[in-house]
This record gives sequence, C-alpha cells and structure tokens, in this order.
Amino acid sequence: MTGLILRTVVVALFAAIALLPISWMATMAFKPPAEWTSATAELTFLPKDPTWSNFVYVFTGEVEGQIVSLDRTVWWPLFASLLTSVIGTLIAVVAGTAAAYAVSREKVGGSIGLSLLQLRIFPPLAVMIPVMIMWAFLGMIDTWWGLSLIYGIVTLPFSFWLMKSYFDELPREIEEAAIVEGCTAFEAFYQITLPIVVSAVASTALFIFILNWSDYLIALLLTRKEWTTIPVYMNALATAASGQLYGAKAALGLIAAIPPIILGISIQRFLVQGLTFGALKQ
Amino acid sequence: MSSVTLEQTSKKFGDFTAVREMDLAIRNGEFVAILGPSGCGKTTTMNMIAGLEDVTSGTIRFDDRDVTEVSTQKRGVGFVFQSYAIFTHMTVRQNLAFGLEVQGVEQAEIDRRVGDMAEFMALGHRIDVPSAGLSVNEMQKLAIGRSAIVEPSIFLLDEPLSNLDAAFREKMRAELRGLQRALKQTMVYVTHDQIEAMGLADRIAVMNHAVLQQFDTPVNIYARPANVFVARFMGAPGMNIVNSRVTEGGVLFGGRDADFVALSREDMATLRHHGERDLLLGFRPEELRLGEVGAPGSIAADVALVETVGRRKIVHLVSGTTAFHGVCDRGVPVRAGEAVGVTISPDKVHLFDTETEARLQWPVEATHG
Repeated sequence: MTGLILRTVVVALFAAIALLPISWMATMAFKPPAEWTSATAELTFLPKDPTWSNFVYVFTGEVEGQIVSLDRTVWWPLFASLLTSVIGTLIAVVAGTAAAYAVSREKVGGSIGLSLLQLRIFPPLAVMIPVMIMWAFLGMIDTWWGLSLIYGIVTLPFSFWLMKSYFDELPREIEEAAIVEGCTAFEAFYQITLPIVVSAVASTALFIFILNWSDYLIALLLTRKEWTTIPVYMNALATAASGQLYGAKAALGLIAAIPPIILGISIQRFLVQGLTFGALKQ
Repeated sequence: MSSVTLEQTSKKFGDFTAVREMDLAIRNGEFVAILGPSGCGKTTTMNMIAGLEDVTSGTIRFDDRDVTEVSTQKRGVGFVFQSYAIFTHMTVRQNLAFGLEVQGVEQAEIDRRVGDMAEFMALGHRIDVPSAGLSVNEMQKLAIGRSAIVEPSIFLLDEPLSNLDAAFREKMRAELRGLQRALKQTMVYVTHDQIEAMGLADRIAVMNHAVLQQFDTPVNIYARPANVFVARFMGAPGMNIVNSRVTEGGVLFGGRDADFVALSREDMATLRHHGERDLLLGFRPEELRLGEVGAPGSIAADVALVETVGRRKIVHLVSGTTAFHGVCDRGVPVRAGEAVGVTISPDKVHLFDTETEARLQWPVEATHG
C-alpha cells in the first residue's frame, strides 16, 4: 500500500515536471504582451489579464496594441505543414509497408534494410546539405512536392523497420491458409494480412506524422518563403520593433500541438487494441 | 475425394535435401499419417502436396491428374495448419465463408453451407463471435470446418493436435477420427507423435533424414519394421537393438560367447544363406520375459535399474557389455542388482543387417503401395 502511494507520488511528480513547460506555454498563449515581455518585473503562472490577442495576431496579422503588423499570417504555413506532413507520411507508410512485406516474406533485397538506415547514420546536416543542392538542381526548393518527397524519404526507414517487425511476427501460415482457399498472393495480403496489421500501420503512421510535423531542419533548408512550415514560420515571429513575439509563439505552439493530438485520439482504438495475433498459439 | 501419388519427388533448398526421391501412393479416402522426428521432411512433403512448395524433381498426381505445376489455388486441397491460421479479424461466419466467397459461390448457397458447417462443427451458437475470442478447441474445429467447407479433394493436416495438452489431445484425436469418417476425405496428417499416428492412421509413412523409411499399416510398422530406425522410433521405449553374431550353433547374443537366442525355422533358413556374420538383433522390451537365471534358452543378465511407470515397470538390463530394456507388469518381482534369465520368443525376434540396418527377414518387398 505504501509502495503504491509512493509510486503514485513519484509518477505525479514526474508528470508535473514534464508538463510544466507545456502548461507554461499554454498559459503564456493567453497573456497580453505586457505579461511576457521582460519589461515587467512580475512573472505569474496564470495570465492576470487573459486575452485571445495572440491568436488573433497570428491569424490576422494585426491586433490592437501591436504596432507592427505581420506580413504573413499563420494560415499558409499551417496548410503547408499539414499538406507536406500528410503526403510525406503517406509516401513513407505505403512504400515502407510494401517494402517491409516483400523483405519479410520473400527474403528479397539482401541488405536493403540496412542501406535504408544510411540516411539516419550521418548527422542530419551532413545529409541535408547535399540534398538541398540536389533539390536546387531539380527545382524542388520551396515546393510542396519537394518537401513532401524528402519527408517521405527520411521517414521511410522508420516505417520499414516498424512494419517489418510486425510482419516478421505474423506467421506466413495465415496467408498460406488464404492461398489454399483460392486467393492470389495479393488478395491474401490485401484481405488477410493488411486488416490484421492495420493497427500497426496506424501507429506507424502516427509516429511518422509527428516526426514530419515537428521537423525544423529540413523545412529550413528546403523552403524559402512560399512553403515554409509552422516551425520555420514560428522562428520568424519576431520584429525589430517588438523583439521576440513570445506570446504569439506560445499561441502557435498550442495550435501546432492540435493535429497530432486529434490524430492520436482518432486512431486511439488501434493504438490501444495494439497487435492481437491472438489465434496463433506459438 | 482423390488419391495422391508422389513419384520420385524431391525437394532441395540450396544444397540441403529436404525430401529425397519420395514414392508414396495414398488411396482414395485413406487416412495417412506422415511420421518422423523434427526436420525429417514431413512438413515439406505436405507443403509439396499442397503446392506451397515447388518440387525440385518428380511428379505429384491427384487421381490421374498431374498437379506438379498446378498452383496451390487450383489444387483444391484443404489445409489445417499447426497454428490453425484463423483469420482473427473476422467472425466465425466470415472465416467459414471466406473460401466460398473467394470461389465466387452464390450468397444464398454460402449462407446455407456456412450454417450447415457451423452446426456440424458444433459452432452454431458461436457463429457471429469474433474468432479471436474462441477457445483452442473451437479454433481447431473452425480451422477444420473452414477447410472442409470448400469440399477439397484432399485434406492436409499439419500437427493439428500439437498445441493441445495431453488429456485434451486424446479427446480431439477421437473427434478427428470421427470427422474423417464423417467427411469421407482423403486425409494426410503430419505428426511426430507415434501414438497419434498409430491411433488415427490407416497407414503410416515413416520418414527420416528426407527419406521415406516405410509405408505400411500401423500393425505392420510395429510388427515388421523395415529397418533399425523404424524399429527404434516406434514403441516406447523403442525396440532393443543388440550387436550379435551368427555362428553354426545359432545367433550369439551381444558380445558374449555363452548365450544363444532361439530363432524360428524361417529365420534359420534365411540366415543359412549368409554363413557366419555379424548382424543386429532386435526385440521389443514388452516382448521379452524375465525368469530364473539359467532357465533353458535364456540369456543371463543383471538388473541395473527399475523404473515404475504407472502399471508398468521399465527394467534396465545389462548382459556383458550389452545394455537393453525390458517392460513388465508392475506386479513382477524384480529388483535392481538381481541376476535374471531373459527369454525372447523366437517369433518376436527381428534381424537387421549391420551395414545397411535393413530388415533381413520376410524381406519387406515394397515400402509403398
């Protein structure tokens, strides 16, 4: 009993420590400029004068009390982030699942699994600068397809290795059973294997979406203005007159947390359900 | 229902030969067990019959139809996997209907057959249950039902009872035999359990190291093993195999000069052609008798150890340098350290060649057929 209490206290403590910066960001998003600039001597956790002005500012570019108006609102970067993250995730999950299935089942490809990791072995900058040069030659800098493609490529190893481990666990017999009943190999994959690993695909997709959604380096190097994503846009939220716009950044941070949360909740069923290959007594 | 014929069928994985020049003729409606230790090629044989593995050489026929190059989908076999391979994301009904839907059977017909099969398998009350929630017993029935519903010409079962505990296995063994009679199917059954094979099969194909050793009825496999491997593999404990020597006076037991083993007249006639030679003498532990030392025709031996297993005693015996087993009733008064006289009835003696380990008596003409 005391053990349980102790454990609960420790867990609560760690949770509080982990959540403190996030909750600080959340309250800061509702503070007026006077409360987050260093000009004031007094710092409070909760806003004394709660306001939506930070949100209004990033979405409209102007708000009462801010002399400088933003030349770009958050709408387009938000769209750019969503579009490139989703397409990048689709590329990685579809290609990664297909490749993992082929390698797991047919033992083809030799050491392709390891070569896929090459992009991840080097420091990101060492990889991304050459990619930037290539993309420049290909005219893909600051385009949605250029950014989506590289997102798909750099997250492919994750989806490949995650899905491969799931496929490795799933006995071949279950497909052979379908083939004996008259299915083609593709039908067996599509009708039997895929529905069984759908929860694995969902959790892989969520994982990869979050990777893409939170990327800063790649978007910084491969976009200029048109297709900058939320993290890059957020960094630019500063003006000569007002300095760093912390309130606006906090508001944006809060907005940026929403898509992964919505996605996580919507596929929660699969995440919780996990992988039940229950019929197969090994 | 079909017959299955394998002619000189081989399977190689790279340099490794999994099945070597197998000849096997399974009759229409027959229940055949393929029996052997792990890695002997029995599952590969099954997979070749199903078409899940290509053959390296040889021919496979269903009735008169050569199916060697026919794809699995078109062979029309039913396959019950060791893991049952239940489609856990589907209900019992969807599992049963799967094969029929793939074959494009009409919906009304599917409903009727699925209903019938569910009743037959005693799964009627569970038909709309997600199959992941079934018990092992029900899963096994579902796996068999799902294969049977498409009315395959041949039924293949890969160790379907090996996941069950011992008591339950006996129950399912009886059910399986009943099912085979009811379905009137040609069934091929892979197992490493000799009791299962003995109890279920019309005929047993014993395999070892990729080679078919013997294909015969359970009684013949037990009574006339084709070679030393089969003799040792069948029975628990397996047959005693003892180095012996044929001399003018008869067959000398073990490494001793004293004790002769009595042989039947036919065996004496067989051995007469060979002259003086070494051979391997086989006799089943349950077929020797323990008596007084020096009893006429007996072999002198010392009792090294006695294990009491249920109603039986397993007696470890040593004669000179030769060790062997005996099995007797629990009531027989035998103790470790005693000297006994062992008698083997002449008609229970098996003779094998030392080099080839093949049977010398009643030459087993064909191991297939």
